[in-house]
Amino acid sequence: MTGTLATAAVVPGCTTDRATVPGPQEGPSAVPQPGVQVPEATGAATRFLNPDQYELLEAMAARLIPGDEDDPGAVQAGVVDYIDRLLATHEGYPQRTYTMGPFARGYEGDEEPPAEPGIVWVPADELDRYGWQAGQTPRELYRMGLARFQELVAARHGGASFVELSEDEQDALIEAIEDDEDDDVGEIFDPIPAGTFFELVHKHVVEGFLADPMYGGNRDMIGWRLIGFPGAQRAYSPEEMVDPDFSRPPQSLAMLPMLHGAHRGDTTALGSVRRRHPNGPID
Amino acid sequence: MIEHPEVDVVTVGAGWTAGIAAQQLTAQGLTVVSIEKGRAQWTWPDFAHNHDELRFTARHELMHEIERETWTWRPNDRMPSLPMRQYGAFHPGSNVGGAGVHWSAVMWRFLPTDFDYLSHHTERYGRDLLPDGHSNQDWPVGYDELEPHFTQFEVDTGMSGQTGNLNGEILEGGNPYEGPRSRPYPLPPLAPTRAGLRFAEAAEALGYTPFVQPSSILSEGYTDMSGEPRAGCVYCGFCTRYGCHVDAKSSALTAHIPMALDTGRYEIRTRCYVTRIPVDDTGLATGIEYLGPDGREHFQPARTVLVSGYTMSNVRLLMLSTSDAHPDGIGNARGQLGRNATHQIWQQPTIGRFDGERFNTYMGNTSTSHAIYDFAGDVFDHSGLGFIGGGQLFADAGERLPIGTVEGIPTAQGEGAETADGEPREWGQAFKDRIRHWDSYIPITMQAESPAYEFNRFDLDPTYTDFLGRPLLRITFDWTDNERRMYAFIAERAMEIMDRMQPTARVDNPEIEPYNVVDYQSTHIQGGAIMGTDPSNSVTNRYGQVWDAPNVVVTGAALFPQNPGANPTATVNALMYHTLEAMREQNYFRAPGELLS
Ligand SMILES: Cc1cc2nc3c(=O)[nH]c(=O)nc-3n(C[C@H](O)[C@H](O)[C@H](O)COP(=O)(O)OP(=O)(O)OC[C@H]3O[C@@H](n4cnc5c(N)ncnc54)[C@H](O)[C@@H]3O)c2cc1C
Repeated sequence: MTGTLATAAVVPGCTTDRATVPGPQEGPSAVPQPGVQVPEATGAATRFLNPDQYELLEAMAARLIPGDEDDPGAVQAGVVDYIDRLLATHEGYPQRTYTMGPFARGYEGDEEPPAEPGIVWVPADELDRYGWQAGQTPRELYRMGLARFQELVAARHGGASFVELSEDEQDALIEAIEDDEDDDVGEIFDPIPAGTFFELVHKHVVEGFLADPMYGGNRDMIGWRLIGFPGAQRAYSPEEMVDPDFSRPPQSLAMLPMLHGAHRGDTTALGSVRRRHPNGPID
Repeated sequence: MIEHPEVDVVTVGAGWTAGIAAQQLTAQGLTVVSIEKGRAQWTWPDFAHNHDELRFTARHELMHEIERETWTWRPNDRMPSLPMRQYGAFHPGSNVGGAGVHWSAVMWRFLPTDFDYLSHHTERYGRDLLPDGHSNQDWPVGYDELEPHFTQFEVDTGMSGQTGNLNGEILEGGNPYEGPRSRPYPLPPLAPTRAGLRFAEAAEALGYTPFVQPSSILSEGYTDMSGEPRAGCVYCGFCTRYGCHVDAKSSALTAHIPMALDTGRYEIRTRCYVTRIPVDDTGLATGIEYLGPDGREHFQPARTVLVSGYTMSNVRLLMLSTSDAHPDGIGNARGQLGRNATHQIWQQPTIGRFDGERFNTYMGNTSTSHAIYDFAGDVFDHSGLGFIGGGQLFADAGERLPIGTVEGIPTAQGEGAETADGEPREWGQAFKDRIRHWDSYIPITMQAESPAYEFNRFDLDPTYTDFLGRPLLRITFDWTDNERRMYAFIAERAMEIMDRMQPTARVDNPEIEPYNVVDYQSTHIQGGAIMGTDPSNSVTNRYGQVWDAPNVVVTGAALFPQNPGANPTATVNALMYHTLEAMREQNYFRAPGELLS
């Protein structure tokens, strides 16, 4: 069984070499568990990100959840590969999103700006209550955001690129886009809010660190091991619910045994689990 | 327009209430068709292998298709409305079984005083305590009348809990404030969690009465009304936003819908989107129009239409069904449609972190946590408090999945950088170190009431449309000072309980979070097509029949005049049973007309 799982979990596509970017890591150090198959660090071709984007995003991820061989973090977990795969589909919309305009724009002060077609003016300090209102697709936000972030880095550090800076300098830049309060940040990022870009990257890094490994991140279940989450399990007992010393090695969805040992489509081994209804709707 | 042969009843969607109706009506020999926008789904094989947080929780796999039809929101009529572009405050369902598949299955009966709400409060406190601009009113049905239906539903599907009040006798271990039950829960409560027990110990020391929450999840094997045995809960922790892989969580898929299909008189048409309820010259419905998966328009004639597509869909469909007989939509001749939109407070007044302890929070589900009801509804004296309404408190530490829960863990003093707003940064080495405590924190969550106000309502948005170019439903809703005070009072009680629990680090939220559509706030949106005693105060009568079109029957929480601080479905489904009983007893289908009270 493990054999099939391994193939399913490997990141497909190794046609070209991401030459200018070093492999994301020199192999995670967390001890591989027997039966656990994770995508290898292949240096495989990316699907959406170009080498420069990949490198910059990986350097950002390295600050968001730092790590090294002994205590792996976002880079070791392969979160940038996760993001790259995510952006390769559906304009990068991984979740249900309503995309019809007009789109909201915040304004400061008491006076609402004159009406403009395609824009709904909202007091800037109320905008947060309305949630995601970006008019750009996630792909556009990544393309524009990464380029503008690099512009900000260059403007503040005499043309340097992000990867050349010290960790403290890198952190200060990420803080600047998260807070989105400085004039230069606003000017460089306009019209996309720097905070929106930060939130998107942050959210995807967290997802890539903690989602099931089949999505390309959380390599070797690094994220789950860090926080103590056993992953996909069929059952816990009432005794285990209250056991203060309980622990179980994590398991990915691909490692979760089929229910009642049945193969897909085999409905004879179901026990009490209801069959697909014979008169059920066709779909 | 493709026209289908006439049936007795057509339902909007195949969710919880439609499934119940289909089972009972087909058992009487009637024909029923459900028009469901989502796809087919069954315990086997669809839920057998679904333990995937990214797909189901983060990406909302089982939820309504907001990319096609969402809702707009604004806090008040001075602010613009904007669409909910991605999921946030609420998560309505799609697919066969509706939201009643990915629900949590916490199962409260509302309190007796939740029904005679206005008269009870006026009698006890006078009119002064009722907030400015409120539009609360009494339900046209009371607890006693619904009691047999609560009980029947519990027996039909199986339910777990500790009885607190049996025919007026208060029993140890249960909720002492619940209305009298005519029989105990069919099954004992679900197994408790470590965090729940920790909370219960502290609450008890303060004189409160904690108990494990009642649940529509089976705690042991049970043979439900279908005659099929179902397994008890296996506490896998993939519960809310998932279909149950062992069938322990009750839904319309576990008994009602399969039984209805077995009769051969029930059909579900999936991937069919209901667009309109057409009417005849007298204003009675003639059936349902829908967009089929073939991209064509269909008409399903029926003698009765069940508007059972969940609160917002129901209200919008009535509004969009304009005609000469109903120029402003069905049920809107007197401007009642859209009134009394309510939501619920679902926030965490306090979160404690207990370094060095692990609580196995990824096991179980919401209902395996202890709760207290000492500050729910009107079980405590509100004199001099300056607000009406209450809420329950519970230890929110079951079925925890990582992606959505690594942020917000309490920080110890000086532990990491802060944002410009003074919040801990959720990244960097400090964040990484903090999430090592991911299984060591316990939030105390408050689920609390949402009284009704004249200014909180649903209508059609003037700007934004669905994928067919028809206006979206607009929600105008915000908290008032009444809810701010209610929250602050109950939050203080929660913080006192947390004091007793002695966390090593904590975050307190003594003030209510401004209403927003970003933070999940429960999928208990209610009102908009409320039931009442006469056409001047409501859209429907006590059976959900629209006053001016009695063969249009609204189901679900759109009927609730205001929103008690408890999960709604026990009452939603008891009301469905109540209506179906009246239809049966009064031979409604001989000549569909208004049911007598
Ligand atoms: C995440 C979550 C957790 C919940 N937890 C609890 C809980 O713990 N306890 C509790 O009491 N309640 C809970 N609820 C609420 C509960 O799910 C609902 O009260 C219940 O499902 C309502 O039943 P219904 O029949 O009104 O609607 P649903 O069960 O939602 O069914 C509506 C159906 O109609 C279909 N539909 C809608 N519009 C159309 C259209 N235009 N065309 C075709 N089909 C349409 C939908 O796709 C859906 O299948 C929860 C809900 C959610 C979302």
